[in-house]
Amino acid sequence: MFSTVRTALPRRGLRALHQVPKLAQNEHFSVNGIQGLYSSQGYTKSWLDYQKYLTINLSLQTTGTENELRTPYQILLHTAKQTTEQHTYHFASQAHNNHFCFQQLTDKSLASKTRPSRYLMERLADQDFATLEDFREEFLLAADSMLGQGWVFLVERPDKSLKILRCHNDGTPYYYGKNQSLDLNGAVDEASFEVLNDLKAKVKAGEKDFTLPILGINCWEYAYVHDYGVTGKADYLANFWDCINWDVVNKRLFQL
Amino acid sequence: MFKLVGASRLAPVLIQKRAISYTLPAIKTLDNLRSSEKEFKGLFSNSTVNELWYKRGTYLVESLNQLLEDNNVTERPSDLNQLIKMTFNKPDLYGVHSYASMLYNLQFYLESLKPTVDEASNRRVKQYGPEELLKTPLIAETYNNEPTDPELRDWINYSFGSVAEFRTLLLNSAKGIKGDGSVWLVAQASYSDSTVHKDENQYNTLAVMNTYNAGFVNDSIRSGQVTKLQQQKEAKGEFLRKQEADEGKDTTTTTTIDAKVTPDSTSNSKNGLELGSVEEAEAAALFMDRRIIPLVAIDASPRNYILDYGVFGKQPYLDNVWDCIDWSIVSERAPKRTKPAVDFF
Repeated sequence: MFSTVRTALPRRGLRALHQVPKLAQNEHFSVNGIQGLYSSQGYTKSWLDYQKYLTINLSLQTTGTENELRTPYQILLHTAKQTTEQHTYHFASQAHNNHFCFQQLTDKSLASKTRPSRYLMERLADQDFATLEDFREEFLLAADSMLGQGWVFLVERPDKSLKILRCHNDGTPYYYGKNQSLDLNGAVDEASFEVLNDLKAKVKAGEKDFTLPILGINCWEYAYVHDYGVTGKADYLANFWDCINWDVVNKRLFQL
Repeated sequence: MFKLVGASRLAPVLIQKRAISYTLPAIKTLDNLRSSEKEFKGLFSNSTVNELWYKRGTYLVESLNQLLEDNNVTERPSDLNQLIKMTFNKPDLYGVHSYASMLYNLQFYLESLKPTVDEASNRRVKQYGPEELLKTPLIAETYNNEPTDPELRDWINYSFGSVAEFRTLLLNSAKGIKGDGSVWLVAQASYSDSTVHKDENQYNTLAVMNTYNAGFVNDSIRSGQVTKLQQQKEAKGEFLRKQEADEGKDTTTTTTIDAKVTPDSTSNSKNGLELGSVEEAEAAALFMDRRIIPLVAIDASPRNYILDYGVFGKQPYLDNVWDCIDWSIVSERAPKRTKPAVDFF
């Protein structure tokens, strides 16, 4: 019985700890902050400290388990459906999302020299965003009007169309069952009810999700309270937009 | 231009006073700190009090007033609780309900607190590093600032075993909230007792519960919504089918109406082996006739500790909140306790 159970872990004796990934401009950001978005203190809090908080907790949750050698991305996919693994899922999903968002950022002066590729603009035009300004308004409004903590993503669906996806709390864009797009506090309207039913049907049919995020924005207070105050979300969002390095975003999009 | 979102988008521009508009409630402890520019001893710095209550509170009040104005809500009870109950089942007033509820929760939390003179908790107000996450949790049988009111203590012991167990449950529940939310100590009137004494609610147990985002603690008012929507949908499907049949069409065409409106086999559990849905179970028993009175709230949202305690400081923040709970207010808020006729302990 037990002799048939084999795992790579004890045999090869591999151990792993999750650590804060090193951003390409980390040294520069640590000293100067991200010009136009964060002070050096703000950068430390929202990236170095918060990511450390997430990775330490992720290590604590995963050492000695099957998830030990996996990346946060793999862990979040493995744990998303497991009701007893939601602590692990939380730290994995947050660590992945936070890294995803920080990879997009650069100093405002550099960011202003980049722009979305023509291909990306065409895909946005397919969704009736004629100009980048139109998209910006919609995207930031989705972020600003979301109650509580969360993330907003621009995602690419399997048919290559784009969509703005709102994820409350630790929601992930990779699996529809954990998008957490609905807030069911208070009254439930018919539209939300239909979305719920659709979700149930999808889960029952075991439908797979091939959605991929292209652009993300962090709406957690960890990202802005230090530099912008408790009520400073709108200003933070506007500045965040100005610091997006579109070269990074363009590369994430499917291209021929 | 995007410029006008958030605080600025919702900021009141020339509010016409057609109905009353809400103002930031006065919390005496905080108002005193504000005028004397002192810190909230043992919990918050002065600037954090300003951020959490004066800035965020004002933002919530202004947003609420603006939303009431935008939605032409003229009936505005002076009691926030009434407004929350009035709007809970109106999806188009989701915003009003949420902002009213967030304001209520925040005020309730801050009114549960008083500054402490305890030196240990004062020392704990500082920035924490990652090593805080690896600390062994406190294990003790007695803690600072335990409630002294014998009746309240007795009720806590009856409901949770001991004050230490209650404290652990309360603070760990708060720790479990990762996003926005509050943990509450509530007095609960149970279903069975309330049916016996129809006229009066019988509060016999204390319980700990969590609410998330704009969640409202007395949640029985919002139960059964999903079941109701399901029933409406089924009734609509039934109506359409009947209509088609009346028109003398071939019954086989009815299947094409809209697959979605045909009754869901899982929810009806016709074969007797499948369980019903969670919503049905909740609607049937869990929330029915449940009455809840909140006694204490602890706001566990990140903004409360990021500023004074840092990203790693949630545990020391919660330890400090315990030390600052004003138990005399809790005793005042508590309803009359109904002791069970038979004590099984």
